[in-house]
Amino acid sequence: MQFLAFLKDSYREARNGWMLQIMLALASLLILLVACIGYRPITLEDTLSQPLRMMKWGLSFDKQGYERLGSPEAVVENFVSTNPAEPWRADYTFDYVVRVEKGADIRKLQRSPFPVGRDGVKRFFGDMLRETYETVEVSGGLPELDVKPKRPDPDDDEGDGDPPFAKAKEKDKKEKADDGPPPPPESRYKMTVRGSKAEDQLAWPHQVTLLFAFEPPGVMMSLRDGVYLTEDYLINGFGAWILLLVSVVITAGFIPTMLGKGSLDLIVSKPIGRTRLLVYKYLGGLTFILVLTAYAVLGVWAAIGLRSGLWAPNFLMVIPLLTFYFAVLYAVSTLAAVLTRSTIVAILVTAVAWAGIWLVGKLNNAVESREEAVREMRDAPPDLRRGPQDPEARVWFIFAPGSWPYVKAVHAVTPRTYQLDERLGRVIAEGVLTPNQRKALGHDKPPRASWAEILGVSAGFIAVAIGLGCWRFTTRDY
Amino acid sequence: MAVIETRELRKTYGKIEALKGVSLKVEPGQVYGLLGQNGAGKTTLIKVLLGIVRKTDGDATLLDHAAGDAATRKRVGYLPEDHAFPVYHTGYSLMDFYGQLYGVSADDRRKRIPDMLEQVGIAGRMHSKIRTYSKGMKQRLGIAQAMFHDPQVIFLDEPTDGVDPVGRREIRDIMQRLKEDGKTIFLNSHLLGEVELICDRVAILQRGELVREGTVADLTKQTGLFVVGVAAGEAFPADDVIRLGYKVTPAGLHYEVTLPDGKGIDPVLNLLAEKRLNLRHLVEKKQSLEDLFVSIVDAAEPGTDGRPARGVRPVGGPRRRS
Repeated sequence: MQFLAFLKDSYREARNGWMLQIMLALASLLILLVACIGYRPITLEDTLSQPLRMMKWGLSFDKQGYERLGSPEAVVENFVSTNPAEPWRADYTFDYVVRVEKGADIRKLQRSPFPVGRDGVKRFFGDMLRETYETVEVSGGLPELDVKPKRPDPDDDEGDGDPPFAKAKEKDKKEKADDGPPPPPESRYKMTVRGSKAEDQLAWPHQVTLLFAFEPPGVMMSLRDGVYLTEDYLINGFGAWILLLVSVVITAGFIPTMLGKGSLDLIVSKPIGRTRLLVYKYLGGLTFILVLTAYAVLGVWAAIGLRSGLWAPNFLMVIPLLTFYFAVLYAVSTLAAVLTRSTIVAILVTAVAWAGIWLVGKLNNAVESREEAVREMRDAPPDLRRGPQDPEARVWFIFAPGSWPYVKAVHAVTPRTYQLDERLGRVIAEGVLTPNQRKALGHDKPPRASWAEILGVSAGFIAVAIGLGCWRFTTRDY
Repeated sequence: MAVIETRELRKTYGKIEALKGVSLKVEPGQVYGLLGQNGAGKTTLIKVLLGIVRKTDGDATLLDHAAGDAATRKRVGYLPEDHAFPVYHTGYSLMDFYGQLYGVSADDRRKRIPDMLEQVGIAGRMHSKIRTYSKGMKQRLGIAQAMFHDPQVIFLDEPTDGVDPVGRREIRDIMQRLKEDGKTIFLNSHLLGEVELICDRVAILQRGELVREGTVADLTKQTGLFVVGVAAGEAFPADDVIRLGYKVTPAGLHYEVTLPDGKGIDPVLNLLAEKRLNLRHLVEKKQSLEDLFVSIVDAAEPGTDGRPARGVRPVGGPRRRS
């Protein structure tokens, strides 16, 4: 009953300062922001139209050359999908059409890098679709121009800075006579694309939409990538940082308020021991943040699930792990508050400790990476790309090998917030990404610290900080 | 069995001795008043008994348990001086919070909180935020929270501080009711009139020492002091009275005559009759608690008029000459 009383009291205190409302508003804003991010599975037409548009845009830089080639236009038409509802499972047929002003211009195009001629077209689309489809077949249209071997033309090496069409202009007159009668000004190729390599919808490229309608051009990625970026960077990165910062500020006042002149006598004269009082106050603040985190994360998780269809339960691990991260910071804040009875000092000390703990973790990580590289160099031939590792090189230009044992000793007793963050990133990735994608992120290597070590050392730190706080609180006369 | 008992209780803050061997005993059902100047050690004594500060030496028990025992505090109510309730609470929610800490059930809290706030006269504002309360209302709320859980002992540190005269009377009535209910009340107050009206026993602390202790009647008993006045135009024979062995002090138009040991006022009256003087004023002066307190304070800290310190002997301490 007493714990619930303190919990309710903390809630009232937070609500009174508008901090709770601000936190809820921020969390709701974050949920809304994530809910605004949508994913539309792109069609093959989307995939092809963009590079064709880019090609036209590139040609427009040399207006004269473009006109001399007959103002070529390449479009895709008559798209037919075997499964319009699930584009990631469909085969496609479509026409690739190249149009110029006169038939003779087609010949000019055939001599340029422009994709025209069956082999060139097949190569162009094959390169573009190799990663997503098994086969690309072409029929109809023009065959490749049978270019006869010619003497090397010294003009070919000149004017490297000119657009490709400028050189073609000079050659046209010489080569015209060899190409036979001009073809029609429109060349139409029947394309057949089969065998989607996408395992499921998650691997299929999607156009990202913002605010339910706006489609930022070129922002396409697989659902997996989109969800991972949202979960790991937007929420576990930026969002978590903001949440922790605001939480530190909100809760820093809880204990100094209790220890304030006039308040303390009232509360410590109640039938509750001081140790229990401080621990309840600590747990009260922690529970308050747990609830807020749960609200934010569950909301974001639901928003992502509803918008993407990807319900990754691993993401929910953010709730306990972020709360645990906060528990470390709040333990520092509690100790500082008991020692100084000042909210401002508690916030500042916590911020400094937060940065310090993170830096120790980062430094230790750098030291371990260096040690690993030096070990690998001893065991295997040096990596020519990276060059030989200097075993005496300093980490961060400051920490010579002689200082590494001290770095590791400090790290051994420091809460593992850096590693916790890193492990949480892995947990999120495991819920969303494929093994190959995780490997690309370097997650194939085992983590440097076990869960037991990360949680154990951090929990030990919390126990020591709260223990010191309790000791001071119980032995001090107020 | 004493409800509160201290023996040679000492408390020091660094070099400052806040309590210098205080010994007192409060019996069940008593209203015990503790008087003293600011800084005399009154609040420190209560804080030691409640475990808010730790004693340096000596013994202190509360309800037969060592002072500071958390479980014992369940049977104790406390209104601190200069209290600051969390302003984010309403009167009702504060009572509810404290009630939970005392282990009062939810049903009881729901029933008793409005009643209790009614008793202290702030039920009409019980759902308003405490930050909107006046000083007097906060004081009433403080009294309500101190007695809400039906404690055996209630410590009230300046309970009428900031309360208007009507409110003071109401608070006095509440204390009277508590006394009738058999509660033990330990009262710290500067308002000596109130203490005199309600307290059974009184102790006076001076610079951490207990200098007087006893019932109100004992402390304010007659001291053999008479105020004598003769008719207008007649001179009081002060020198003759002094020659008889009395101490005479002018007091306005009259004279204060202090009786020496074993003598009554009759020889003085006979003298006036012999001198054919007309007696117009004769009153036996009774000492009030305030007189006693001021005399003690004056003795310890003489004013600026050059009066010499008379010295006050601590209760149980060695007899000193002034």
